Amino acid sequence: MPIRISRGTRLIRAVLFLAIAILLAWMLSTRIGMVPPLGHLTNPWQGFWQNMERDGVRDLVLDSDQLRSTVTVRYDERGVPHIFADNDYDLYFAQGLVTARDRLWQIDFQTRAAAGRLSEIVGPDAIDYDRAQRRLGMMYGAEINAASMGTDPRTSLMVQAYADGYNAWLDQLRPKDYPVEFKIFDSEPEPFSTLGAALLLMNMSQTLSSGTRAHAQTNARALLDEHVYRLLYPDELPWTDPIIPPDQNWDFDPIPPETPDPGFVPEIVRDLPLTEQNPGIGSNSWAVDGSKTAGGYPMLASDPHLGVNLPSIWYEIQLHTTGSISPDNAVNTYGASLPGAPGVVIGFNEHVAWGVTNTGSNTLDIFEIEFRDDQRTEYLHDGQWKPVRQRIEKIPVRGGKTVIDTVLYTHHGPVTQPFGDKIASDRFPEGHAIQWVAHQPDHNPLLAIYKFNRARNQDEFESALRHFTNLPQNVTYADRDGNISMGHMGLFPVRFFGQGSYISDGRDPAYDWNQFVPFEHLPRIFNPERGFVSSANQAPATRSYPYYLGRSYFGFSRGARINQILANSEGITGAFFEEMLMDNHSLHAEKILPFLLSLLDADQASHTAQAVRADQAMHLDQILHRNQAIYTDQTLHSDQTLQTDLALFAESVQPGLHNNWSSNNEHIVSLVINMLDDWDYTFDADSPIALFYASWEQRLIWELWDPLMNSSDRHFVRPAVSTTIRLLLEGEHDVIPADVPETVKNTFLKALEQHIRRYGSDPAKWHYGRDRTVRVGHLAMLPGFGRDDFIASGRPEAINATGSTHGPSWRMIVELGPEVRARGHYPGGQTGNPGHPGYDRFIDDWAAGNFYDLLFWRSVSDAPEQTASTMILQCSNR
Amino acid sequence: MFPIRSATLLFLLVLLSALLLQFVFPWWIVVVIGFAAGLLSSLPPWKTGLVVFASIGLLWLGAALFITVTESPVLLPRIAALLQLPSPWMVFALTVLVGAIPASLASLGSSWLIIR
Repeated sequence: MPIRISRGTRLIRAVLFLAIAILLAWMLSTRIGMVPPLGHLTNPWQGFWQNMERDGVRDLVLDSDQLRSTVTVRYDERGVPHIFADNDYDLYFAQGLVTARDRLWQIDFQTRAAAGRLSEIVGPDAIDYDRAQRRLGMMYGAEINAASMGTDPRTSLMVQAYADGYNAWLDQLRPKDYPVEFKIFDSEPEPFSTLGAALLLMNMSQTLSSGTRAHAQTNARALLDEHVYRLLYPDELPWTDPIIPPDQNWDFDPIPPETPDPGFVPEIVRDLPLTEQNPGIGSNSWAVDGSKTAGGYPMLASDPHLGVNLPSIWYEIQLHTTGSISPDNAVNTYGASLPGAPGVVIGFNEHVAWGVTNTGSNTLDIFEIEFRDDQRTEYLHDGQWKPVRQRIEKIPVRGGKTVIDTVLYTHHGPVTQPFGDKIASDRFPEGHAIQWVAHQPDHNPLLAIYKFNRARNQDEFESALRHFTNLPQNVTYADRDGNISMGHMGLFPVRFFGQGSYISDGRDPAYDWNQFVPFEHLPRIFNPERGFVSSANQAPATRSYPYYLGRSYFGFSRGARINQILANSEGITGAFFEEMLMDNHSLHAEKILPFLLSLLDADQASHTAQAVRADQAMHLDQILHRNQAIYTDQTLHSDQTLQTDLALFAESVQPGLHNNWSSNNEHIVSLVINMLDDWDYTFDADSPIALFYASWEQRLIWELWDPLMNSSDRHFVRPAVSTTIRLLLEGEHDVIPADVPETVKNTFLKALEQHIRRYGSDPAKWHYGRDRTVRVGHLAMLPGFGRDDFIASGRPEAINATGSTHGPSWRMIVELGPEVRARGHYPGGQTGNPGHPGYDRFIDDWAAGNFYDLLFWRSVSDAPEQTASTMILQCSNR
Repeated sequence: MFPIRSATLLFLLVLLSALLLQFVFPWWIVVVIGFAAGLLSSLPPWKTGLVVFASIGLLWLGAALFITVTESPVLLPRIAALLQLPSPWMVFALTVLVGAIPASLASLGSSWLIIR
């Protein structure tokens, strides 16, 4: 018997259900916070399902009326495009198109991130990031560099063609074809402009040349007794085997630097957190001449270390033109390209090969600025009040009001922090201006790339290197004529000793960047007698080099290891270089571990907590500099925090407690000590003891310097690991603010206790590769879109510098000769589509050290059996 | 033919129109189809709602399965992790619910509106 429902009830139900349906439909179409619009994302017709792709690259034919001739793109088995074009325009058009096909979202995202435009996609959460990017002058620098690229017809054509090709790909996509990240962020790709390549160049510069420790170094120098400062922060790091061997003669007349006013004492920088140098960002590169190789021709390796992400920072490609218009421009090159920038950045052609490592020289200076008044419209320079320029930065925000930031510019460069506002970035002090090599006008490193790709011999490569200026790098070179060379290349101001390593005086013209080290005076080495050249971010030369370049170089470990191996090797093959690139030996551990083990003898370390406390207070008293003229209240303040920290520190040590623990676990303690004793200092994945050593060493280094780091609220930087090792080995324990034997012993026990808690009490079951975390994360940190389930050996100070999130980003080995051969790999995959099996395909081989043969084809018809699929770009203009 | 008295016919009509219209319109077209189904159906509202739910749900499930079988499934665990779902299979369940619930609610609403 049906129950009769009144008309009113029916209407109420109708309205209620319809309202819920509409509300739900609206909610599922809208991104709420970071929850994607699920209706758009999950529907099988337009959502992520459309991004699921079967393996391989699909054959494709596209028409374009912009092309001058037909372009053939042959994809090999690994998805690497080999582009065969008739002329430069078509070549770079095709490069832009194939890169967009595989990496559209990455290029869009990285370009916006570089420009400080992430708030457009992310929302208000990204405003701070964007503001820091704008204030660093990323857009400003991109405009300068784009203008430079525009002045040369070759690079101007490169960037235009690349953008045209990118946009041709984008134009034929429907929203359902957009990469899945656009659907997740509910955003849309935008056309690529000719500014794009410059922004990606700035992105690279930000990673490689925007680092500075000037304010931290200034503070340390001011705070510490001079003798102590020199021991803790020596001008040259111990055991460094410089890039240019010490016996090099410098037969030129150097340009003399200006002399600064000696009375300048920089103000102390406060309220900035401590940012430690990331040991993962470095690189190796070396070359050997024919006397050392099995084949009698030079060989080269390049191994840049960067943050490893998916999609990868690199995209493998071969570029080939027949050069029918101008045979001199013909090119056939292979290597790693930067998605968003035309050309091959690290690679080889039929004649030459080249690699790079970062220089570490001073490329960004911090200037103290004296403004005339609070209006800040004028600043003092060379005895005159000069006008401040303003640059208005508009930051559009998704779901919010556009943020407007006025950035002040002096002739040095931008003032990176706002006044009396939340800091924009923790990297630079307030009220200071920066001068950055990436902002220098009239430099065009893209032209260097263009010419590297086409160089047929050493002379042509040299002429290319002259353009490699405002993105300084150590450049390794080898050719099939038998030459090898290495140079510390780039734009380096002529500096007086120490200039740029400390805060500079913005008033004094002696600090200006007026002159640069001439190309002919740069640290270079050609065909050395020892038969090899190498660089691993260590100091470029000894102090005998007549120019001052900087002091923030990497320690000796990787560089010395490479040189050791190369000096003692002959008959080198590609397989030998493979082994070298995967070498996990740590010279740090080799130097310091025997000493540490000798201190673990319990009898030698029987201090009480009381004694430790008294001892440390005395040390710090001597270490800290008491110049009342510089500090008044600060010193007082730091003394108070100092006492508190010391008390806390002494309590935390509690030797008694740990002695109890160790006597209960005596068998493990002695087992672990024996394992360390037998260890070969190698961070292989299957090593049971390497991870324990790593945690102990880290804890030790931190605790040795903690009292000093915590002694002040000023920005400070920890002494280098290699410096610490030297102080320990050479018995300079007075300058270490902790009791050395006690700290060695306590950190050992604490590290062991923690290690057992985490990995169990059976050291035989410990496993470095399985236990440690190595991650190739997603570029926008989307959960599930990265990889962390693989096993990798390595260590930042080993040649295989695989750290937890940074490491070898492109390993390349080139054997020159009548027929150039190469191998390589990178942690990623050619396609940036997380719905394609190739997205992360190379990661396991990269981690395991399996290299791929890089297929380098002489012509469009060479080795047809190696073609996996083809894309034809047809000219529809005729 | 109208009003539709057969659940099977309603099921097929909804399925077919959603299949075709989704090639042109965004996902929310299924809500419009659900609304229309309610107007055209003379079945009891709860039954109309159920039929629309089943029809859209099965359509989306079928399409999702078809793509999974013909293409590669490597995206599923990634989407599951992104959306904090415990298993890749839950991605199918979520997909079905996202399509079917709003569509069936709309059909319920319109059924009540014009109940005969």
